[in-house]
Formats: sequence, C-alpha cells, structure tokens
Amino acid sequence: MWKYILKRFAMLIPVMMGTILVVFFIMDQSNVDPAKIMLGDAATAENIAHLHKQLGLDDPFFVRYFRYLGNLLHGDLGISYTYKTSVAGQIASRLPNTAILAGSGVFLTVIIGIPLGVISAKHQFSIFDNVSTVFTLFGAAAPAFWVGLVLVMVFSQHLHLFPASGMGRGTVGLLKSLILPAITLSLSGTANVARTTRSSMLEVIRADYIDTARAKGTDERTITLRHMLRNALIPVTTVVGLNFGVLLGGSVLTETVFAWPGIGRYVIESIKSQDIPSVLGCVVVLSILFTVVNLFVDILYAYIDPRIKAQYKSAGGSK
Amino acid sequence: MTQQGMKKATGMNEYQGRSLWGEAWHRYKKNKVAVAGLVVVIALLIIALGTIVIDLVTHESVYNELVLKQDIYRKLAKPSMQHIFGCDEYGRDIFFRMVWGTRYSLFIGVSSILFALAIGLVLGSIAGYYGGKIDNFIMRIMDVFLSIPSMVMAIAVVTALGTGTFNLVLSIAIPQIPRLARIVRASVMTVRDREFIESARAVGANDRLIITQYVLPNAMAPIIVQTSLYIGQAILAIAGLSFLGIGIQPPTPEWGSILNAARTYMRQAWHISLIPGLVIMFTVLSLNAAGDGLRDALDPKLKN
Repeated sequence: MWKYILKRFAMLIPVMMGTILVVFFIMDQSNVDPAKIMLGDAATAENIAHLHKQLGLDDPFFVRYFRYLGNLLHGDLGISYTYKTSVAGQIASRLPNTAILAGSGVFLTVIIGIPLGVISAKHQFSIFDNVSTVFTLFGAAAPAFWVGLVLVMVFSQHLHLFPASGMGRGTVGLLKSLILPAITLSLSGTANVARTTRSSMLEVIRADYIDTARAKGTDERTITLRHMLRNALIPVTTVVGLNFGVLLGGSVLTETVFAWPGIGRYVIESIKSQDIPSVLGCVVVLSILFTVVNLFVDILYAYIDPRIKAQYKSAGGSK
Repeated sequence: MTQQGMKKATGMNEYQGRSLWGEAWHRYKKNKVAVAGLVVVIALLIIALGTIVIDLVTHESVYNELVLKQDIYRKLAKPSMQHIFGCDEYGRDIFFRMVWGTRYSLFIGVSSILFALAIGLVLGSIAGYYGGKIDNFIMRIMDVFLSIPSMVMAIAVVTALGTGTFNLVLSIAIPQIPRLARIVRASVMTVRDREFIESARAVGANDRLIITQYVLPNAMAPIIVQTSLYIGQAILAIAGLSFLGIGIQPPTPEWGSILNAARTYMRQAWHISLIPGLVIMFTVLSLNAAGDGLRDALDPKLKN
C-alpha cells in the first residue's frame, strides 16, 4: 500500500510540471507588458528596456518556465504588479478563507448528497424520490452564482438572517457568514452526488448478496450501510473528487457574489488590474490543490474497496 | 395495443426495418420530458436565428431601438404589461435583451463544444484505436489538462487572450477537450476489436479509412449523448464568465452579463436578478432533459 502511495506521489511531479507548463504557456500569450504596468507614468522606452532585463522578460520561453519552476520550489511565485509584494504572500493570506469555503462546500455535498441518493434509491418512485430527482435536475441546471444572488435576496435582505457579504468574525459570525456561500457553492455538487449515489445504489440494491444478507437475518440498517452503500460508494467518491475541481472554479464566482476574501476574488481583482503574476500564481495554486485532492481520492479508493487494495498487493503496486 | 398484439402474433418485430437512429427516435418520442426539452431547445434556436435575421433585414435598427436604447424614465421599472420582464438600470427592456441574448449563450455554447469535440475526436480515436505507447502519451497529456479545474482554465485563457467571442469559445472549449477525448477513446476501444473492423483490415483498408468509416460511426452514440450534455455546462460557464465581467462585454445583452448588473441593484429591483437566472436554468434544464432522453433512447440498458 505504501509503495502505491509513494508511486502515486512520484507520478505527481511530471503531471504538476506539465500543468504548470500549460498554465505558464497560456498566460504567456498575454500581450500585456508587465514593465509598462509596473512603471505606470514613468514608462519610457529606456526604463521599460531596463526593467525587462532586470525581470528577465526577454529570455526564451523555457528559460523563464524553468526559472518559474525553480522559484516555485522555494515558495516564490513572483511579485504582484499591483500590490508590489510577493504573490505567494498574497495567496497565503487568502488561501485559508478559500479552504474554509471549499471545505464546507464538500462537507455539505457529502452530508446532503449521499443521504438523498440513498433514500431515493431505497424508496424508488416514491414522493421523496420524485422530489429529490427534481431537485437534482434543477440543481445541476441552475447557475450557482444566480442561486447565490437569490439566497442573498431572500435570507439577508428580506429575512435578515445572514449577512449578505464578507466573512464574519468569531465562531458564530464566521458560521453565519459561511452558510449562504457554502450552500451556493455546494448546490451543483450535491445534485451530482445525489444522482450518482441513487443510480449506483440502484445497481446493487437487487444484487444476490443483498438477498443473502437479508436471508441471514441482518437488520435493514446494516444491509443499507455496509452491504449496499459501501459497494455503491466507489463511483460516488470519483464524483466527489472531480467535483472538487468544479468547486474550486465555482469558488471564483461564489466569492465574487458574497465578497468572500479568498483566492477566487483575488483572481478577478488581478485580472481587472492586469496583474499577470498574481493570476498565474492563483491558477497554479488552485491546480496543484485540485491535483493533490484527486491523488487523495485515488488513495481513498483502496480503503473503501478492499478489492483494489488486493489488486495492488498482488500486482506489486502497478496499475 | 391490438396492433402490437397483431405484430407479435404474426411474428413481426416492433423494431423491424428501422435503423439505429430510427429506433432511437421511436423510443425518444415516448419520453415526454425529453420531447419537452427538445421543443424548448428548438424554440430557442428559432428565436436566436430569428433575431439574427431581423438584425440583417433591418440593419440592426430594431436591435438599437429595443435592446440598446436607454430610457431614464423606465429605470429599474418592475415587470408590467408593457415590459413583462421589467427594465434594467438603463431603462432597457429585459425581455428583449434576453431574446437578443439567446444567440450568444446558444451559439457560443454549441460551437465551443463542437470545437472541443473535433479535437477530442482526433486525439481520442487515435489513442483508442492504436493503444499502447501512443495511447499512453496522448492520455498523459490529457491528464495534465484535466488537473486544471475547467473554470480556472477558462479564466486563464480569457485573461491571456482577451475577451473576444472567439477567445471565449476557446476558453470554454479547451478544458472540455480532455473530457471528450476520454469518452471518444473509451467508445472507440469497445469497437476496435470487433470482427467487422478486422474484416475491413483484411480487405486492405488503411487505418485512416477504418477509423473514419468503420470505427467512429459505430462508436458515435455515447459520444453524441455526452456532447449534448456538455452544451448545458458550456452555457453555464459562459454565463459565469460574463457575470464575472470577463465574458461577453456590455452593452451586448448576454444572459450572464445582465445578472452582473443585477448585483448592484438587488435591493431596488429583484426582477433583474430573478428572471435572467430562471431563463438560464430552464434552458440548461431543457438541454439536459433532451440529452438524457437521447441517452435513454440510444441505450435502453442504461435506463433505470
């Protein structure tokens, strides 16, 4: 098992290098001249040329790419044009806020989505199942940021229950300010997870071993949780993992709607001020985060499904 | 009922004499939700094309009058008989803005997915057909693209290239290429070892001919189903980018950009927030219903 985990971590390095290469290449297509932005009014042809040399902007693409990679290893993502401080510092101060939001999003997705799917499958074609199916269809089709707007109108402006924007202080304040953005962020994921759980539960619900378990007198709760859900959970885990990427992308929208001080809002601010190193830094950090989470999900499979673990043992860790 | 009974009695197959697509359409028609979705999608297409024709015939005078002209006296007017969706912060009729905005959501959504499909088809069929090292090479590159969240990738592309319509298509399409390539690859792999492929090879057909004439037509059903489902996602992504202010730029009446203004005037005018969102939701819902129906029609085994 450890061998497998180590191997997966080793595979992470080329994927990460490739990811950064792609992102670096895309951002390199920008025709914004950083020197002009940094110098502002003081931009003369001479000054610009000087700064280009200083920043190494005239170097060939791969020289700049490997320099970026090297700096990244030291936790250096360059200097923000607008803040004139390190991008890494700017991101580090906002990352916890995005992590809190995304974490709550995943939490809601799992604790609402999976039970919805399980109950729907166990009571197929019941009223609950129909309501839940309608919810999943609407949840997957609604633009998340719009749901956020509607929630703000209803729960902050009319009912005055939760703040409309910003991040509250103290535990209670934080929780109150977190509820609406977390619901907004998790909606499409919850719909997806509920749908996947329902269909993969339906696949196992009539399996012979379920009848066997019942015949042996196992109580229904144990059958549902241990015999059905555990077997149905593998596709669900994949969806939750993939959904984390949607969640990170969605956090850009959600943070904009709720003025949540995270990386997503920082990206949008940086785009508007043409602060390329900041945008690049955020995209790199979000991609790394997503890759690591998916690696984690892959490892989780082995714990959920002993068959996968056995496979790795017998095959010596190869896929 | 009796007719069916007759057919059974005479040993006639209900599906006799129909092609795969004819059979699929026969099943599709029975799915009321899917048909409703398809009707909405067709109606939206007619609206989108209709406005384009109107613009061409009237040299955009109707567009300027109904969609762009500002009227300060109607600022933030609530929905009424004259303006069923109400008016926005410049006193422009939101109903007409939504109608004229249909083309952006629909055509950018469709063209970005078709663009991604074109590249995904090439990469996926090569990877799936040849397998081995080529497959490994292509799919590892796809893995790299997959490790960038799609919305984040779209933001990066738009930031670097700017906010033109073509760049927007690219920004939505690029993140979907690896997803479509994977589906194509998986579908091609189920077909490539069949006997008729082998017989085509035995007659001396070259690989390109085999892939385009024999493999792809038989692998197309799941690919078309997934493609149709991605169009809804693309429409949501366009609306999202416009909402962030980095998609279609005002005063062009794109659905998401109408919602962008809504945030500022939420207190005074609820209708600006509510209505465009509902329209987007029902559009995506219809597309998804049509796509789901297509899946059930093409592969009845999947239906539960």
